[in-house]
Amino acid sequence: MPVAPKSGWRRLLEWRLLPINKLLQTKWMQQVFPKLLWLVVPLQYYYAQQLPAGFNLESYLPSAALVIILVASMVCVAGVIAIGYPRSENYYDAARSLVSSMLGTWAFALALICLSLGLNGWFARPSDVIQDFLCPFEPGPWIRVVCDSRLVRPLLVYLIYALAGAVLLTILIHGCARIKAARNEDYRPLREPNLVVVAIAVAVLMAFFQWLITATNR
Amino acid sequence: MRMKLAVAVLLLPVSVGSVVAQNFDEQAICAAINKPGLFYARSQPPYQYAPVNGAPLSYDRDARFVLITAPVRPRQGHDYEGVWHVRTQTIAELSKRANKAYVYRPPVRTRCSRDVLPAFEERDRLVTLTEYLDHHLSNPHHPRQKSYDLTRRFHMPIQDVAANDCVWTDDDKAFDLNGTYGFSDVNRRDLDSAFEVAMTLVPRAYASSSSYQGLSSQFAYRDTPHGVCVSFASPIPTGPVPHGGWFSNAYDDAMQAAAGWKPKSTLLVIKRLEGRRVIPLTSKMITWTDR
Repeated sequence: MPVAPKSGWRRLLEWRLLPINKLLQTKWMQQVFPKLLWLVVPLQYYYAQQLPAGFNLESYLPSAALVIILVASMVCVAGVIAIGYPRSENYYDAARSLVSSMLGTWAFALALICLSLGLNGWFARPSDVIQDFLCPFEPGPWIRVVCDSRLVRPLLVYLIYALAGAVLLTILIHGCARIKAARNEDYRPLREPNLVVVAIAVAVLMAFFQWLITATNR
Repeated sequence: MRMKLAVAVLLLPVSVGSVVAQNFDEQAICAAINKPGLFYARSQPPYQYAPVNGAPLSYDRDARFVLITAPVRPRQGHDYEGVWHVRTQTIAELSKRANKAYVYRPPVRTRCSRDVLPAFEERDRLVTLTEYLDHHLSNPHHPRQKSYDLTRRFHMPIQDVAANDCVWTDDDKAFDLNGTYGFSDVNRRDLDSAFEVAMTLVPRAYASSSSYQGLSSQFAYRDTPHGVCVSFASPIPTGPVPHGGWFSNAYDDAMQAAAGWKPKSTLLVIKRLEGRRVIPLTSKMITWTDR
């Protein structure tokens, strides 16, 4: 029976979800994407060095440990969220869908932050483009409360990076899915999570880990 | 000798109570002194004070360094703003090496700021030493991001009358940040974050270069540099100190520890910023009498 083409609105609404199924459907994508996650180790090392009060240049071991703890935290947080979202018959399917979405979003968000710092640092002192844009040193009255809050400001900045990361990941998966390739035979569709939910969870974790990187003994 | 004794007796500690918050009336202290110079004054009536002239002083965590400038007749045209930066580096007995710095300037509206710039709340005034050093370009070959809070809550935009423009006091193109605000003999590479310490298997091989237990960096601002009185906080311990409880903050803990602190000497450096020009005013070594 021929499948009726989806309307424009339907297709647009589908963009709110991270297309994890497309990633799992294609054999090469399922194999390559998890391996790309190793790139977060040098990215996290670079980022932890750029932060004020960040790691020392020779802190290789703490950087690697940080990535391991971050990945473990993502798995734990995704596991907890998966109890309620996305609603799925099988808990492990929901957790799998969230874990892979969060790790991918985090990797892309981290890459974007490093790109921002790296490009800025090429010409002058590294600075965060999003924070500079949202929070100038004398912010307008509408954003002042956010900028002056030590809790909300990093959360908002990371949320923007995480949202951008999730959108980039979505575009990349859709783009790669157009390439004709062998399909996974044992593929079972998962319930795809919402971009915003994933971005919020990732932003909260990134803000917490920024605090962890820079905290000192009292 | 008799003079030193008199100053020491005059400045015997008067408050080692349980009150942590620093409440003081700057105008009353200035009125009590009422002459130009640099003084160390009690913050409670009768505002006993002593000049900072090399004679030993008696430490009081609530006392203030008071700088009173001589009045001059107003000149034609616009004068510079009065912007002073004070840095203290204190060596003390039986306390741990500083891993934070006391950082403060009162809320201020300068000629160049659009609005009143906020100050650090009392609980936030002890910033991580690495954050402070990184902000002030401790390693120019590896510059890191600026700390937003240090720019907004500590530094300020001031007028450069000669250039007829405004400049932030932490502009790395206008100032030698490390030379102006950095702590001498305090090395960034000797400092690790708590996570780095927890995750490093082998402790660092090199010895610590810093032997300071209390570090502070403060700004004062007036619209004119002449005939004004500004004050700065007394040094406090900025290394790890005992926790005051679940709801205490680093500043309260430091103030509690300051009650029994035994500082030996403090290097006090005062500079004035005249637009992009940094003018060294004084650099004094203060010795503290035994408590």
